[in-house]
Amino acid sequence: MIGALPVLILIFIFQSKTIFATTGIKSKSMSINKHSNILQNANRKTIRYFIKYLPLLIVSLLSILFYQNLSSQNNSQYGKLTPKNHQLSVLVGANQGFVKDANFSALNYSENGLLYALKYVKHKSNRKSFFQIDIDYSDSDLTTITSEHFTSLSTLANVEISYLRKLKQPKNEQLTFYLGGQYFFSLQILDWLNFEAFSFTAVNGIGLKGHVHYNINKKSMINSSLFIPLIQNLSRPPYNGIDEFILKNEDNSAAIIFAGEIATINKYLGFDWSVNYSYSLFNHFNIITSYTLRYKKLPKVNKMIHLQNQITVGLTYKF
Amino acid sequence: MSCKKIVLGEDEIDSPENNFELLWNDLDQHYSLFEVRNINWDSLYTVYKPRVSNQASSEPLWLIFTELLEHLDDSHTSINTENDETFFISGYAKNNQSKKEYSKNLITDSYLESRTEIETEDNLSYGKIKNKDIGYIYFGASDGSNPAIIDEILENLKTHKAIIFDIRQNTGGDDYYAARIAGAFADKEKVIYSAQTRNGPKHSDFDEKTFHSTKKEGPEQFLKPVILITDRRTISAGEVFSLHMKAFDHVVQIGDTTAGDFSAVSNRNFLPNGWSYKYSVQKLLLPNGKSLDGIGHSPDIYIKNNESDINTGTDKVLEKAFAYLFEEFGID
Repeated sequence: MIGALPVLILIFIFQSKTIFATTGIKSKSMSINKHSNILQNANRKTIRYFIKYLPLLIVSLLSILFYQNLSSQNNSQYGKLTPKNHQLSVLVGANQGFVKDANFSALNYSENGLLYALKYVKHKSNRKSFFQIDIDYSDSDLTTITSEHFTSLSTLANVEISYLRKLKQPKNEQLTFYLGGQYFFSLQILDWLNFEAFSFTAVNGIGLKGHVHYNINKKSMINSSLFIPLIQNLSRPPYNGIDEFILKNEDNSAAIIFAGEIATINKYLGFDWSVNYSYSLFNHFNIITSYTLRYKKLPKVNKMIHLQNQITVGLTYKF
Repeated sequence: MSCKKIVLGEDEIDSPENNFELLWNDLDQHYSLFEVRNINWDSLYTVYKPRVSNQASSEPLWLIFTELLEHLDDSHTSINTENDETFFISGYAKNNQSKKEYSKNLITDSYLESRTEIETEDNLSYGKIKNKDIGYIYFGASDGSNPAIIDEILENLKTHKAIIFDIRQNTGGDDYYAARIAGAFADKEKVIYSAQTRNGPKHSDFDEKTFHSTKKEGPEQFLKPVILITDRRTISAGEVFSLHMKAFDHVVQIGDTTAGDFSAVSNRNFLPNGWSYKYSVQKLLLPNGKSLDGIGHSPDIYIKNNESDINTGTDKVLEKAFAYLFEEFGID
């Protein structure tokens, strides 16, 4: 199951590499907007690429999970009920937010776009812990009140892997609390006119996650999570937005994304809060709706503030 | 108060005074060549800020901005109005004039037996000079997908006794691309310059030097006589290419002095009135610590066309290259 994750990360990194490479960050050309027509193509390509590989990823995940499920059934006593410990959700929705990145622009931006997400949850059969993977991706327009000409693109990707253990059961048996840790990788690329202006924030670290689950009735439940990053590798453009390292590694986005420095809350503040509602349609399927609030702030040189509201709906397959 | 304001704070005010302050302060904090070009940026503030009035329409402000930036005499510093309808490039008048002093069509029609355009690259072509045992390469932009294509070009030209490498009107691009092209002519490995990027609020704040050297590239190098032809609009990565080529013993530069703009360029920066601008963020120094920014490469043999030469079908610079190859090496 986890083996599928690097595939998606590699797909994304490869795609990021394509973006950097085809757009030419390091161009010192005097010709203005020389490749501006590539801008739209590059981002359409990003979406097409993701959508192209999304079904493949889902089919791969489902195949692995079905195989695991069949194996476990074969190994168990025939006829004994197997609890549905796995949940795989596919979600689509909207990403809306606000961005100010001093490295990118002195102006304030609004952010609006589509969001695609995958979620996998594996509960222990005794419900004392669960393992979760969340992946989301969005392409959004950044707009200013100043000029439509300054409309830019924000490409975002998050990969989160968490493991949480159940806390002491409260008197209310419908309510369950979990606490644990989460690894996360988050990448945002801001791009105006084919990298005539650009910025990025790549974060790769661990933090603390709390989760509360409430069974409303037999068919529906609601849960909420709060994640606070604690220590991470933070990669940002240098003081002047560009330097020899970026110029030299234009064709190697991974080198740029994973360079950086260790940052704790003195350099990187943030939280992700989400609330999910799930309703059981059939034995194997739930519909799910989710709201996530993400907040990031870099208070040091080249300050950055980013707030996102993400609303998604989707389908969960339980097995 | 809107949610956006609560989260991000107030947006920048669109007033002439604030636009001036944003531009002046941004360059003050990030522009890399104040010391190299001997610019007193503070004194320019005292000259131009009093001329800015919040009642002013956009035309006077545009004039103030362009006059202010012209002091930098740096064609990597430019400003655009909204939608890029109008733009101004600092110190560009001479560069612009040189456009009329060069004609690619004239060379193709009058001086070459044929010209082969390399479609994968931005402006790279080659051919043979009519009735002479001399190859010709035109390198008009340091950008493309495959700089190693130069090895194939040289495979076609290597039997000639000399090559004229024409980089007039090379408006720049990628320094590493330029270095790879030059590597096909390298006769030695030698440190030729260092690059430093400004990294702090003081005009003297720069990161560590990154040293750049010539390097032999490709299966073999062309080591017969090479004439490098330059003009005033040989800029940026075109000039970095010249830094490499001029380090080689078999290369002679003929033509006009280059623009003298070597630095990498910043992101485009945005103003609340819809205008945008960019500027130099690096300084490149020769091994002796001197900078060619604002100076350019002086040719070994100075000659330039004027507009009437081109109009009458003569490229004096190219013909000077022929004469030099004949006089010095007997190549014809």
